[in-house]
Order: sequence, then C-alpha cells, then structure tokens
Amino acid sequence: MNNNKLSDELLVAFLEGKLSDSEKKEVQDLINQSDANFIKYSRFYASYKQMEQTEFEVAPDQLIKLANKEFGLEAKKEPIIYPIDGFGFSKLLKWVSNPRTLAFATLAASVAILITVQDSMIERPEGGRRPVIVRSLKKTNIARSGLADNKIEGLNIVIQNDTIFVEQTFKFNRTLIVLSGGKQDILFKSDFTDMYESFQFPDLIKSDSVYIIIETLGEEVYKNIFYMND
Amino acid sequence: MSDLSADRIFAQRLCNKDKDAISAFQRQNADELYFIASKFNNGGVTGGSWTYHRKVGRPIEVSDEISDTYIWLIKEVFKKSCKYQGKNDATFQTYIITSLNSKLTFIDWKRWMPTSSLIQYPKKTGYIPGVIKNLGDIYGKVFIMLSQYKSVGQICSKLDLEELECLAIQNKIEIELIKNSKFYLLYTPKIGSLDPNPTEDEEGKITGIQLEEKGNIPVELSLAIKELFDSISLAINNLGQGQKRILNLYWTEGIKIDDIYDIMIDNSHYYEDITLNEKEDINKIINKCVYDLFSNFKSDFPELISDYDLDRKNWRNLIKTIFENYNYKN
Repeated sequence: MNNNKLSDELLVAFLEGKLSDSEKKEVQDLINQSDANFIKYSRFYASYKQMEQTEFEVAPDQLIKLANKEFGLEAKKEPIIYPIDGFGFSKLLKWVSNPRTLAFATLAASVAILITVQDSMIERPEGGRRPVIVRSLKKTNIARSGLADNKIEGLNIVIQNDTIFVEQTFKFNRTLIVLSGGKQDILFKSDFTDMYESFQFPDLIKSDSVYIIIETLGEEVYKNIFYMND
Repeated sequence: MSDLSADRIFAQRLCNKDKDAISAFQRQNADELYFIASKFNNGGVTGGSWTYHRKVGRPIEVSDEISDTYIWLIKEVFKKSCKYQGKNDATFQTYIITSLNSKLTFIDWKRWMPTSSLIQYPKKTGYIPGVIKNLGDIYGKVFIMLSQYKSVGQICSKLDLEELECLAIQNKIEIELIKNSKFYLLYTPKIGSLDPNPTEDEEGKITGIQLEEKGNIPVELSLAIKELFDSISLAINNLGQGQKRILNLYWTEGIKIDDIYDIMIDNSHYYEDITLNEKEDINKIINKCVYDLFSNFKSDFPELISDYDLDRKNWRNLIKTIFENYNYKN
C-alpha cells in the first residue's frame, strides 16, 4: 500500500472490505488527514452506495445501437443469460418485465405453437424418436445448480439437456473440467477461449449430478455442482 | 486473495479500445451507464428528487443529451481502464462503476458539456424572477443585463445611471435573490475539484483541477456582498472540523443525510466537536450550526445584520448559498 496517496483503487478496496485491519486504519488516517481526501472518500462512498442500492432500468436499445455505431461494434444478438448467481425475486420481476424478454417470450411462444402444430402432422417411424432441437428453447431440462464459487465476474455456466453452455465477458484461455458428482472421475475436459462456447456430450444426461471446474492458468476460478434430474 | 489477472487484462483491452471488450463491457453495464447518464443530466444529485424510474406503459424517452452523455461515459471508461492496476484487490467492476458515478466524473462531464447544466440561466430569454420584478422596472433591466454578463460600467452607460446608483441596485438584487434562494440565477456555481491526486487525460492534460467554463464568465459580486460573504466565511471558520465537514457534505457535495451519517460515524473518533448516536443527529448538527452561526454573527457584525435585513428565516438560505455556490473550503 502506498502510504502517501489515497488512490481510487485503494478507496475501492476499502469500500469493498478487501483491506486488512491495519491497512483499514492507515486508509482512515489518510481520509481524515485532509479535507481534500475526506471529500474524495465521501464522493466515492456516496457513489458506491448509490450503485449498490439502485434498481436499474433496462437501457434503451437505441443507446446500445448508438454506441455500436460510434465504436464500430458488430450488432450481435443479445446472448441468453441465465439467472444463476445471486438470483432473487426482484431480479426475476425485472427480468420478466424487460421489453426485450417479453418480445423474446412472444416469439418463442409463437415458434413453440408452430412446432407443436407441425409436429402433430409429421408421421413418425414405429418406435422412432422425435429429433431434439438443441439450444432452441431454453426452459427444457436445465440442470439446477448449487451456489457457485466464482472468482471472476461474468463467468456463467448453464447445462441444458446434454450441452454445457459457457459464457465469459471477454475472450480468454481457460479449461473446462467436468467431474462426476462424487468428484471421482473426470468425465470431460476441454480448453476454450471464446466468449460463448458450448460443449455437447451424451454421457452428461446419464449423471445425477456433475461437478464443474474452470481453471485459468492452472488456477481454479470457478466451481459449482449441477443436479441433472431435477 | 482473489485472482484479478482477468480484470487487469480486461481493463487493458478496454484501454486499447478492443471492440470485443467494449461489447462485453456494454452488455454487462449498459443499464448502469444509462442510469449515470440520466443522473448527470438531472444535475448529478445523489438523492432522489428527479424521476429516473419510468412509468409503466410509457415509452423511454432518450434525449440527445443522454445519448451524448452515454457515449462520453464509454470514452471515460477507456481512460479510466488505462489507470486500473488491480492493486489492493480492488475489482475492476466496482472500480469503474464507482468512479464513473462519482461527483468527480460529473464535474469533468460538466466541463465537457457546460450547456447541460440543469440551471438554465436567463441570458437572452428576458426572464425576470418575481422577487426582482416587484422591486421595479429598473431592477428588472439591471438584472437582465447582469445575467447577460454585462459589467457595471456597461450597465450604467446603457441605462444612463450613476455608477453608485447602479451598484446599489446590483446589491439590492443580490440580497433579494439570496433571501429567496435564487442566487443561482445570476451567479454560476464554481465548478471545482478537490481531488488531491489529479489524473491526466489522453493528451496528458491534468483533469480534476478548477477551470473556468468556456463562454460562461461569472458575474462579479458587488463589493458589498463580497464583504458580507467574507464575514460569514470567517464565522464558518470558527466551527469545529466535524461540523464544517458535515455542512460541506450536505450543501457543497449534495450527499444524502443517511450517507453523511454513515461516513461520519465510521470516522467519528477523529472529531471532538460532534456526537453521533443516530441519523437524526446529522440534521440536529446542521440546524445547530446554522443557529449558532447566526447568534455569533449577530454579535460580531451587527451592522451587517441590519444593512442586509438578515434574520433567522433567511439566514439558512444564505449559508446554503455560500456552501453551494462558493465551494466553501476550510
């Protein structure tokens, strides 16, 4: 810790409760030793508290489009983000009242009706199985997850049918390891880099539960258990 | 200790304006950026006197100002990301969002977009507040010219007034505006920064120091009102450090009472002049400071009290004006 300077990061670490008791004392002394430091801390405190307590409105699409145009970004379709970590009732309300969610739900419902109607008209071979459309509808057989130990923000995992979907906020080399629920056997292991990856393997649905670990440079950054048959 | 190597890499990629990183940042923080852009365009207040949450069934209106601010905020993300080092375990997400939402960024934004101020100065609109209209036509004319940043010399010459007469009118206008909490109609609040560690922008220019706003030259206070303000500042200097800091947070920084309490209670052992047990104590301290300041001022400067018709009713507004507009520093 730089003893003479109340840097932005030091203040953030102080507000996040990341400092040891002795470091906290040093920062408090710094804050109170001058009006300038005191005001700087107060501004950060008020900002931090406000962002913690505010329920945010969904940003209008026109702002996002404007930024995409300004910075030459590709207009990618919004990824489906499953509310796993820190999921709460207020987030559910916000999520279901999101115009984008409602529009998607309407579209999904229309597709489902169409598939049902078409499905009833298709002749199936005796004892044959209907083909499964992976990734088309999100609510089918999603594995229930335990509380993730996640050291990286924005790293999300969802298991749907026999596929594991991994999302990270930027491209980075990581390793996905799937263990049996009892952590006895490695069922699957693969490196990945992209922001959105999916891994499909049929044995997944045979397990009652699986333990998923993600490593970055040999260090465990995510671990969680998923229950398959709920 | 958590692993912040990913945060550092992400910050570096934002610093380099990597498109994937910008997309990822926007996807994760668009709602927060929209909130901050809306807040800045509503005066940057931390307490909720402005309407952020839209009413059900009403389309979201995005003004040009909010759009411009949203883009400006993303450009600030690039600059701030370059400074992130992941020291002391501070996460990038908290660092960037707390910093963007802070008053320091709001001040930088106001410098970048001076016309966005919530306070609409009369300038050429010809608007004269009722309290000035009631004083007579000539006061209205002088008010408009002052609000157009005309000097006293120019006003005298244009309205064919003696300089002393003109100064007396200016002084009377100032007093009426102070009494009615409308001082801001004439005097642009100073935009200053108290950042003890100013940062540099892309071009190496220091940001976070006090600068005059372009094209917005503040009206000079009359000598008489300056004397009054200096005397009040002297009285404020005699308050305890804790009291001064509470008044500063409340009026200069515009921080909510609840937050002031949290800030002060954590540091209460540094102050001998205040005792805090509950949030309401902050209000009590503010009221007591205003009350004591008036009592002391009355005995120290009785002639100013009578010259300016000051009483306990308009005193609080006067103190508030000094803190709000003159960024009182001790």
